[in-house]
Amino acid sequence: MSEIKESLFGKTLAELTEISKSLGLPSYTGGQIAYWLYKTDVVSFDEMSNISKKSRALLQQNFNFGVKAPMSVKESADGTKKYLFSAGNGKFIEAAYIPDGKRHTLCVSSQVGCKMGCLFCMTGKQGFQGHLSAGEILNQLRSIPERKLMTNIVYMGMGEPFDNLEAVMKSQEILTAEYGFAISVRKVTVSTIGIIPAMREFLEKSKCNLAVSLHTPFDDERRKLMPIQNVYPLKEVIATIQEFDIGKYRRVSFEYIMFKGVNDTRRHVNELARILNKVKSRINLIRFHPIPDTPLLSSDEATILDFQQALNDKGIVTTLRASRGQDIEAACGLLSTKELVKAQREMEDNKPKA
Amino acid sequence: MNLEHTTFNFAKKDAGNGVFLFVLTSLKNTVYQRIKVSQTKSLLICLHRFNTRQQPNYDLENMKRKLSLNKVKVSRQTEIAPGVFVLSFPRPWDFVAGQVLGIGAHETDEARLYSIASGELDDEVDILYNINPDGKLTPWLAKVNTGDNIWVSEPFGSFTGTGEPGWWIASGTGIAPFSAMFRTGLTAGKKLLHGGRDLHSFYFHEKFKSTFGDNYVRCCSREEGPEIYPGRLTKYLSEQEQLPANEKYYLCGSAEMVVEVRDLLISKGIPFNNIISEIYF
Repeated sequence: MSEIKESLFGKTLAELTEISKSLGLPSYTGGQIAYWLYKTDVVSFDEMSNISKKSRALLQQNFNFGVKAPMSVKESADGTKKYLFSAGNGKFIEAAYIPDGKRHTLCVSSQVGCKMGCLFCMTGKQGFQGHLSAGEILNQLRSIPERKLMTNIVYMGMGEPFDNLEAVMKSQEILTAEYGFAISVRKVTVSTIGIIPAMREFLEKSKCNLAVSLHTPFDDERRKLMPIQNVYPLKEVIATIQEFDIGKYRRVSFEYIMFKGVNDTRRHVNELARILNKVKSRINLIRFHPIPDTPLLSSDEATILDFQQALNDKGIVTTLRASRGQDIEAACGLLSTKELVKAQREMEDNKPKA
Repeated sequence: MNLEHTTFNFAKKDAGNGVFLFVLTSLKNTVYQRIKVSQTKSLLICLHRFNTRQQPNYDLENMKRKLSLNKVKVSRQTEIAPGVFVLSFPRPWDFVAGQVLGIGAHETDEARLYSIASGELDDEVDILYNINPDGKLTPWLAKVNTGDNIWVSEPFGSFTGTGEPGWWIASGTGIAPFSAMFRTGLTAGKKLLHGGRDLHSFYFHEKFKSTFGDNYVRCCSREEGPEIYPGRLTKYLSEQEQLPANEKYYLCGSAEMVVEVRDLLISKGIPFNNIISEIYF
């Protein structure tokens, strides 16, 4: 069996330069490779026309190019598309492309499945199957036809980005760097449930936006919706964010899914206003998209609008996210490849034993 | 539980600097609360403050420091099953049973979190872990010997036990926080379910068996043995005709186990408000 080669796609400029040097190529070859990987549509070494044939052969001998086309795509009536990718070894991930006028957003996955087990999330129901590399995260953008339209990237797909910090940090460097995809840091948002040590590192080292899943301001309620509360409580998450000067352009937002009778009362409005009083942030309300066997229901429309108004009245900028792609299960909290994982496992179980 | 109707014994220990440690023990020998008070304060005032077993308060200053690591000397390391170890070191602080701590090989390491498996009053802190061959810490940790140093954070977390009746449900090394609650004496009215692949997965089973009797169920998915339920935890739970809806269910283990068991409990009529989970990540 031949050895699996490493992919070049997903390497930073510094890494590509180092690789070039180690192969005896001029150091500027690193920049040339970065151009072909991140600025063009080419998918093979042969197409890197400003690199010598000999150098290309050497690269091909040692590395995979690393861009993989999606396996399939589903399109919603509202124009949202859900792409399915293989992550190798019977693992699969999804990414959602959401067009909205001039705004084109790609919601990328950072892990196969998720370890966090939030009560309201479909991804959590499939358990955890693995981390994605920086290349696999960026491939969700690079390999789709809408790539050049993309204005915003959000790490809100499958997985907890801060449980895979190294790959996430590397991918957002390449996304925002001049040598990479050159997307403004203001247009990239990483969403977390609040893994504090990793969040602190992100706030220190990155200029991208941060979104935190909040969902209730009360400790005892939150730990029943989100087990992470037992380890990293919301109060501490907020205190950590307050340690940083968020600045004029960076945005911190709190995601808040509205659950009927659970977190949609005036008591919640008052407590949110109290705990976020001194935090430069906004709240993004999200309608709950029910998942199988869930005990939770979405708040009704009137309650959601009242809740939004009440928070705005208290001086907290509160927006309501439009539900998109619900008919193809691409909406918030619905991404899952559980059925594919199950099918793969059944196939393996049914293989004749040696 | 209301203190007005409960009689306690208490032990007093001089903790230095005018601070005393009171260990309250109910007549059923359940350690109830450890209280530090200064010499000048009245114990009665403290009793009033702790009239129920409280969730730990979050001291933000302390929280910010929690993953700063301090050196401790390992007093013992025992392989209790193939690839599964209990590592012990002298207890440097108080904690609440069910809490976690961070461990690193060096002071500057990104700490990995582990539940404490020993009781609140034990002299040593026990950590139960298995070797993750792809992990950064456990292959190193397994080679640590008595007298070697490791780096640990102060304990934290709110997945903590109560004296109320309830179910403790764990898979694999997820048994650790329940072991801590057990060794702290929070056993009254508890039922313990432990899932494992092999017969050697049921760590500390002798102690659990002798205290819980039939309220201790071992579910083994790959092997059969005496007094072992053949099958996964979820199979055992799905066969239970009636589960008490008003009791708390504490789950600890992998994300997959926690999510599956939680869904199953909800499908059997347990309100999600009565399900509290800790996931290993």
